[in-house]
Amino acid sequence: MSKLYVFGIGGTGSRVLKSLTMLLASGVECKADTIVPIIIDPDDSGADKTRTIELMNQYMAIHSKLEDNEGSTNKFFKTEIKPVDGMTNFIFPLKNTRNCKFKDFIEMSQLDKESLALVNMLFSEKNLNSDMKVGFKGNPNIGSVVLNQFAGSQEYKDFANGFSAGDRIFIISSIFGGTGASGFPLLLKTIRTDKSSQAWSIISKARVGAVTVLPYFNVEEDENSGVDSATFISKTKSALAYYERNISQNGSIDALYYLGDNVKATYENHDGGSKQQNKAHLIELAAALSVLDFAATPEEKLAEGTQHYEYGLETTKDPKQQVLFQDLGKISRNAIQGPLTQFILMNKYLENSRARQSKHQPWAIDNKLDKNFFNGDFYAAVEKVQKAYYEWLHEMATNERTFKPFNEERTNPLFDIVNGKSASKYYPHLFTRNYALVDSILNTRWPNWNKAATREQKFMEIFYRATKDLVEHKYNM
Amino acid sequence: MGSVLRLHKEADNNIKDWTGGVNRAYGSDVIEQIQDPGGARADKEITSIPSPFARVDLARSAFHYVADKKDLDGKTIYHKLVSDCLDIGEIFFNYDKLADKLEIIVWDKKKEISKLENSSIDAHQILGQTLKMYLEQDAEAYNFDRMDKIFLLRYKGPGKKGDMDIIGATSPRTLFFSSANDLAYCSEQLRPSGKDKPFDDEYSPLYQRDFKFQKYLYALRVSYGETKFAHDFPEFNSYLQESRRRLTDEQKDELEKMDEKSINEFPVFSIGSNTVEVIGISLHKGTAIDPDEMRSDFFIASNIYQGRRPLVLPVKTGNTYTDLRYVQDNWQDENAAPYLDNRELDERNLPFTADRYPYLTISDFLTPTVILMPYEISGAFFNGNQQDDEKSFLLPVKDTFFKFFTPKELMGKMPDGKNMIDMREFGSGSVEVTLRIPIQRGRYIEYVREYRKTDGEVREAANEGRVIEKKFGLGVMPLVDYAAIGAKPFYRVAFFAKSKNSKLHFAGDGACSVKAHAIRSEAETTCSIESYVLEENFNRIYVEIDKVKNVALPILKSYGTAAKYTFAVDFGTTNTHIEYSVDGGRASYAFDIKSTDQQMQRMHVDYKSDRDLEYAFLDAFIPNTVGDNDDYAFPMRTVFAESAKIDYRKPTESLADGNIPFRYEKSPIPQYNRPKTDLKWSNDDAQRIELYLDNLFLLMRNKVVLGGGGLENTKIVWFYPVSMTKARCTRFADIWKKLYKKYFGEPTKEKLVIMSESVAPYYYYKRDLGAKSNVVTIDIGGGTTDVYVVEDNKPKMLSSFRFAANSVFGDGYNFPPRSNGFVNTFKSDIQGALQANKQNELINAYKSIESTENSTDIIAFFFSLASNKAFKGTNVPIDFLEMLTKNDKLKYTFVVFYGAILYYVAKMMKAKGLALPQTLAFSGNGSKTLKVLSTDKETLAKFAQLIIEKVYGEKYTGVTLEVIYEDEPKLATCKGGISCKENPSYEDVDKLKTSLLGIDEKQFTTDYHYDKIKSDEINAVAKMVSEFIDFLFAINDENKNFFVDSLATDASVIKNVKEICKEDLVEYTKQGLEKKLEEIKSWGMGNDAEIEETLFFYPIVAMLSNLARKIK
Repeated sequence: MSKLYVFGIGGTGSRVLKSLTMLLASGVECKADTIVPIIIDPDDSGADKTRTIELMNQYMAIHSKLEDNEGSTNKFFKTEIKPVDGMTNFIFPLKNTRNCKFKDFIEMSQLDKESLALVNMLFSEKNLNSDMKVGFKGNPNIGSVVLNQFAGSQEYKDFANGFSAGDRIFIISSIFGGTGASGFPLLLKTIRTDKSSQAWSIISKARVGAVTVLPYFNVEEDENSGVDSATFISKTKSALAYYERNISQNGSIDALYYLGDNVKATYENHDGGSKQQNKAHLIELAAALSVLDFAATPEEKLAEGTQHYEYGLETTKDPKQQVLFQDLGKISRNAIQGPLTQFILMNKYLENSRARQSKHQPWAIDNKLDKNFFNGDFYAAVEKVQKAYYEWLHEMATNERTFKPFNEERTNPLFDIVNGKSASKYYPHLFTRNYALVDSILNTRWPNWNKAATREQKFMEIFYRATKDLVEHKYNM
Repeated sequence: MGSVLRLHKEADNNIKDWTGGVNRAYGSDVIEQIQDPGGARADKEITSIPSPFARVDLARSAFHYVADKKDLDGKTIYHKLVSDCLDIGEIFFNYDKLADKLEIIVWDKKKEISKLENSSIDAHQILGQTLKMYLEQDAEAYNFDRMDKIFLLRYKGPGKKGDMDIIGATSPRTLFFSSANDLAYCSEQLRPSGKDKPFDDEYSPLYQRDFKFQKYLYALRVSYGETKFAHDFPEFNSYLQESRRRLTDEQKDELEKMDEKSINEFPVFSIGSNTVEVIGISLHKGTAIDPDEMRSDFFIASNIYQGRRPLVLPVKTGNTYTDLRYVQDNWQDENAAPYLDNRELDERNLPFTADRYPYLTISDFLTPTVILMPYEISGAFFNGNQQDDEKSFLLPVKDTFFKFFTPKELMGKMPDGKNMIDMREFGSGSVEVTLRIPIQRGRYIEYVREYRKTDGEVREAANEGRVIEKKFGLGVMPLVDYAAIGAKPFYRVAFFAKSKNSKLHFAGDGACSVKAHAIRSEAETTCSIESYVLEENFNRIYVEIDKVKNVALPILKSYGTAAKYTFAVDFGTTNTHIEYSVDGGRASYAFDIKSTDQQMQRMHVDYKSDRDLEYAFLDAFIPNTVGDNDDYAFPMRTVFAESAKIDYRKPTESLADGNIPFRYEKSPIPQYNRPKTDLKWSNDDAQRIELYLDNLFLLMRNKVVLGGGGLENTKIVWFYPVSMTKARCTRFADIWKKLYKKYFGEPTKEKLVIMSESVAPYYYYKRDLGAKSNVVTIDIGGGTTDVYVVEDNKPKMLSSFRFAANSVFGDGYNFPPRSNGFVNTFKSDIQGALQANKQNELINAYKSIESTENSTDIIAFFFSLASNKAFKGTNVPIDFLEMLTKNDKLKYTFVVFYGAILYYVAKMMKAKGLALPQTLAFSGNGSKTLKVLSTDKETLAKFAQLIIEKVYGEKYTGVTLEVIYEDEPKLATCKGGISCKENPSYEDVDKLKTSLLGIDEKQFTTDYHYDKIKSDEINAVAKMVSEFIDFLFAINDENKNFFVDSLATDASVIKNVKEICKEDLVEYTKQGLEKKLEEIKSWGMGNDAEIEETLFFYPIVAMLSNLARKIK
């Protein structure tokens, strides 16, 4: 019954949380019972952040309908995602950053001469005049001050109060931006040193893991932007050196996951805000996997000292080529190919209008999955998640480095959807093909189990079992 | 490309999934391998360090990167960071030099953190907590735990951006670190050494910096302990080591010699009660350059400056001077000194090094404004090597220049043959001035400034000069380098400004004060009339007009001093003559000023349409040349033009408060001058005479100096009238002595010769005109007649009386001038002739003389017309003498005049028992009128013979009486004075002095005093004159109407003449006596004074005037 607190810092934090949510939605195994996401991002309007929050809220809505289902084998939406008690939308609120310059935030004009001099020394004019509404524009040194609102805040207390022995903490951040780069060491230092809560002794000794994402994309050059990818690498190098000395060497972290890629897509340049909506990326998926890896790492291993990890693929082929399931390492492949394929099959089936028209199908009629059900909130949430799932896959498939395990755009024939894998014949159903096969499986394999289960639980169970059956038989996954 | 999702390359590629494989954190090995496509050249600052102390870390990283790469000269952002940090270090090191632009703020860790944490402002608490958290958490990496204070540098100099421009500070990890802001704005102001400019794009590695600073850093390391230093500052230490490898062997040896005590060569750096330190290591500072130990090739090369030699710095970038040593190192090609430094020389800091040491720049030498004059410059003044026939410029050179160089040097050349100054005109009236200032090693700094005509403000700091046009006249008299010839200077500097607020200043090797500055007239519609009197050496003139001050350099010359000059000065009542001879030559010449010995040297060739300037020189000083062929020549009218503002109660100077007006009788008198005539016998101030003579002395002295004569060899002969009493004569002599002493030196009898006016002509006639042995010389001047009788070549008698030309033409004692017979008779004819010849200037000259209502001056003007050069060549020449000759009525006045003189002389000779004279030699300007009597010398001799024979009562037998005279009879005195070898002394002359009292034929004036003269004597004088009239007309009657027949007088009026001549003789005698007593009184003598002359002529003076008025 352990909990894993996952701090997603900045834009990268939100995007990795999204990938994690997708994995959990598709039923990828998580050793922690509960994931508690906490988003730290001063960019109120960041599209990545809002998309992720929306997704997680749908997830929660779906998950909550599936609980306490005896005899269920369903793994879709299985792992609980829930916020810290008292926190809205998973967001750690940051005060006074809206339309505020850094110098105003620290009320510089009120400082004594000596401190004023120091502040002028440590921070450049650009630092002092940067508007923090959209994060720190690659200025993590100001982030290190602004984000330091944890200590003593009600939200931090709420977090601390919910923390139990055995719970773990994971921090997601990018090293080359602003918010993530500063939030990570700051959060870590706070976790290790803050004594304002009663639980400080548990928290300060808690196992903390982190993934630090190195550059994996460029942004278009824009003279007026605070973001300049030409400096991504040099910033990364400086920050890495800082992490080495001030995070790893002093033992304040238990596991550190490094991730980055030399193959880079170029994104449109946005300082942040609603336009900062970067496409999902394989790196984020790998980062999400690091969360799961950390959750699965046994206590004994962490007790050995700080663990450092890098992520490897199975393939050695040209990185410009698409990454398929078989290019992933075995562990990753085994962990995700089945669930993701199950979930895409469900997506395709529901997407291609079979569901509503199939109300007359036995699996629907018998389980009372009628018009009301398909017009209800639950199904709407499922549809939304499925839609996001499709987009998520599609984005990764059109990004660089390209992860394209599916022909996700394809609708027919359905079972050609897995790239690099041809579908086998399903012997009992040699003559039923395509969506008909799905109907057939849904009808024949729907479970004979707890009649007290809710329609939502039944619906999810049917689809989980059917897709699992199909995945096993068609793809031998 | 590997299959591991990471940025670096050289690593295990067999990692699959999140299965480990790296066993430690990404360290420098990994970081190194990460290839930066943007390179580290990115010009945007690295800010991705998630700590408020990011900047401290960046400095650390930069030193690490650069030292690790062993590439100290790169261009990456790390090299910039290192360079900036070293800049901060060097600024700390040179803090004393830069202290006026900086402040050190001390941030005390404990105190300030506590203040923030306890602040009532939430944000300050957060700031305090954050700083504290990072200082604690990151203590190990940056030595934060051992850091108590941060010393911050605040820039407060020119161009500061705000009140808290922090540019750098001490760092516990790299000793120093710099601000992330672009600090280029204070780069120029904070150059700690001549070499490097801080915070610029030319990153400067340590080994190329000021070696003193390097030594300091190594000394700091040694004193702290090298191992400890390497432990606490590993990156900085590695950098030091790398840098050291690149030093020269010499420098390495020097570092080798260092020990723990070497740091003590540098004083500990304290601010108030704080020692500036980094984790307990006290920082030290560079000692300021000891000015006495300064070595530089930029020292000014001056032969005259005695103080600490300032540097002269280039104001243009470029490599012209990069081979020259500046302070520590050579001059850098990007260096350029400011055009202007407003600080006092001793208050200056050197640019780029900030050392306190005097230096000079272009604006110390060149003025912001240059004055253009619309006239061609003459050869008498230096033209700045600029040639133009139309206009000229003053030299825009400041006084500072002359502290180091002489005017002669400015006119000279550099070792490479270039002029020290060049002025090149461009455009219309714009000028480019190039000034070359010699420094060491035979080199010079070249300063160039363009001056343009502009109405805008002067922008000296931008090296933009301005041209303004001004008009003025300037002249120096004489243009002599007195220092070179070792004589005391006597200068007159003429200045005629057309702008108000104009002034001259003078300077020479030493102080040069102006003895007197006379302003006869201020600049109004015409120019001012000013004269500066200087009796000290000067070699340059500052012309200041409307606050603009430029220099004029007169080209002073020196001359020999071997020649011997002799001058004879005949200071006459109406005319004055100076004759001179050189080296005892027989020939003598009327005083002249040739173009070769021009006394007043003007700055400009001519003043074109500005006639007022031309006239100013003529009216207030002297003409360029004076001589026979000129408008102006000696002998000339005795007249002095004194300033209308003159005040004799105060010290006065000739050619300042007044001058000899050479244009008198030729041009109108300017408003500012008051011409004074009748100087010699004037009842007015005796100082005027002195001033007049002073002017003559100045002319003579200049003549000597410019002619290569020795002042002490100069001989001056001057003449006194015998009719003067001894006392009066002594007072005259005192003036002459005083002036001789002033201008030539100690007067001895041989050098300053006093000679009787009566005696001098004799020597001339004797030597030059072959006068016989029994000679009577009669010298008739304007005011006096002198008679000298020599018998058998021995002086026998001498007499002088105030009866001369003016007695004929004057107004008696108190006749109204408007009734003057001569003036009224000829005035209209002469005026008509002037008008006919369109001599407007002369007409004006006449009007101004006429307005003085002095008849003798008017008559003198009439006479002057015959010799007026401008008038000579015209169609209607005027010869007043000829006009007189043709007037047979007025001729009677001359008959009476000469008759009286001859009668009196014969009476006196007879009384003295002298023989009949054989030669009558006439001289003096007054004797010109002998021609009015007759142009035939024999007729004149006959007239004289008749008178002498009748007085003597005996006839000439065997011998005839001969009359001789000169065409220029005025010259006889001077010529005689010069050739005289046996000048009788005053005492000898006094013994010869003879005067009949005038009451009878026997009574001499000897021992007679004025208070003895009573009515008996007066009546007796009148009676004797009456007898003379009878005597004179008896000669006519007894000799076949001699007057009418031989002298061609008008027969019809002869009776009338005789009657007029007998009128009011007693009254006239009284008037004459009164006039004499007044004159005596004005010379400070009483009525008990000895009688100077005969009373015989007193009534005749008035008689002649009366005759001229009445004869019609």
